[in-house]
Amino acid sequence: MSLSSPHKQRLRCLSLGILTLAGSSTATAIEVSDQLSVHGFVSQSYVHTAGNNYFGDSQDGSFDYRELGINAYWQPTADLSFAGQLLSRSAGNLSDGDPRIDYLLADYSIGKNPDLWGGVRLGRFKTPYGFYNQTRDIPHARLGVIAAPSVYFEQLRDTLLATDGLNLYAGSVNSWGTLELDMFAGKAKGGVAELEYFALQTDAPGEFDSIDVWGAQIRYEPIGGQTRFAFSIYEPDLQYLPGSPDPFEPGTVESTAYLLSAQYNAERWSLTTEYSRMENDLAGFGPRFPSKEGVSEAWYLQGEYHLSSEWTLMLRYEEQYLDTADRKGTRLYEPVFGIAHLAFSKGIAAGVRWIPAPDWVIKGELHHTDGTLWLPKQDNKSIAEREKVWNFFALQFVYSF
Amino acid sequence: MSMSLNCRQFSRIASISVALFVLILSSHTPLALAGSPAPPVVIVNPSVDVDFFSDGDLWAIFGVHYRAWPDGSAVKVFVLPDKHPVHRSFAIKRLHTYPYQLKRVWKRLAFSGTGRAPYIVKDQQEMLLKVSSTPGAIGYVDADFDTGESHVLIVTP
Repeated sequence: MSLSSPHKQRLRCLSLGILTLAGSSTATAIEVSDQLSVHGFVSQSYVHTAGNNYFGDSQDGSFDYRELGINAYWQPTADLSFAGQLLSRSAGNLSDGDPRIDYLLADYSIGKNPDLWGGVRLGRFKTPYGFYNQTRDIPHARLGVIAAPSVYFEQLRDTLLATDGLNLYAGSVNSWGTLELDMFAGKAKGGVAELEYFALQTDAPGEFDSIDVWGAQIRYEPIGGQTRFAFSIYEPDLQYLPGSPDPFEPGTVESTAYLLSAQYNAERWSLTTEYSRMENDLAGFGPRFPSKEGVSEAWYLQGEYHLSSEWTLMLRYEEQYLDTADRKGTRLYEPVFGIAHLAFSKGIAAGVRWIPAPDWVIKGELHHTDGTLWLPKQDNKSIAEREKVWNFFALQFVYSF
Repeated sequence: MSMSLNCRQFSRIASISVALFVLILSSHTPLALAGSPAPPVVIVNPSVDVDFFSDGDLWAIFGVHYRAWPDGSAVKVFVLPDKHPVHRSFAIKRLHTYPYQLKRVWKRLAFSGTGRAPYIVKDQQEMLLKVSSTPGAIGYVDADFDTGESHVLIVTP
């Protein structure tokens, strides 16, 4: 991948800024004042795959996966806060490293006792979805090099990342634990080619330019969070704006995603599982793409073992199906696209995380996957050249403050 | 690069990784609880007009769920470093959790714009200094730690 030079310059400025700030800090955040704190991170990965590409030309080994971020949190009074994060992510053909506003919000909270609190966030906020959506771009907050690709698949990533709109939240702590609720509505990022692959199996001439979303999340954990549960609903409505010429007409995709999350935490190990079910209703794309209704499904089971406070091992099994009516892809997809494996993915991942110093994280991860559903399509544009069985290895270095 | 070579490289990487796992397994340091056998005590700045904290209150405060004391002033949470034995003891005995979970909660706050992660102090001396000098501050020290003439209130459970 090549970047235009003003672009490179911007990136260099951002990284230089972060490194300068990092140099002036101790292991933790920069406390600019009592009310203002600044955090940031830099990650660089090496990805080597066999069979297919994942973030760049990774079959020859690729360094084309890096993340840079810097944020500020300002709390002028007890009940009012402002927060913003600037983020640059380079990931093969999927993300070009252009700095973008990850979130920028005002938060007004009410409730002056721990029994009951609530508030409202206005602006661009991270979309509450599952345990990990809000931090999937934060390399040192993720256990793995990438988030579990079955539930947190790349195709919906940009849409899910953040919502521009309104977020109402409430919570309560009692002797039985913590109960929290988030509700939100607004607009999500459009113009994402990866999403077109998910809906139409191709990078179409037009784009999904307008995405209205609403959703909710309810979370429960007993005091201490030994077990944690969450239920998320996410409903994006996508409008397709055709290009010219375009084989597709201005269709719509109406989806509803349900995600169940559960976790058990012991002193040395954690077990996490998330199951998602997404109902998709595609209509109005014209004769080239008949209207259809289908259900996508994904789940994973992940175990973590904490050898010490520095070393963690991870093992995960996961599956994703484009349409539960055709889990093998042979009935609905093979006759149309010539291959069946674009309709599913089943994979196993093993990883290790090492924290050599409080501000450094080094991660290594191996995946073995059967099926190409969660494969980044912009790095593997030719359907015919995609391999059904493929492997992924990655090393990631993270610095954060 | 041919597919077969890639696969060979893969098995090599896999075997190196497995060897590394075994090495780590055989050399890891145990998670030990140190310090006083009594749970650490909660200390607050004298400006904080609260004389009792339930387990739920502490979980809400150290999870940064609620931000203002009953008088409306901001809650300022101070914690010891992740690996400090008193932090570990406080996490387990008072919050009924583990340091790795607290770290996860605070990272999510700090990088999603939903809250402010606690201030980290380097040792108990600094904890005492910060909590005594910051209005609205809350922290903790070992039950045996001598708070001397500092202006902090020790809140017993």
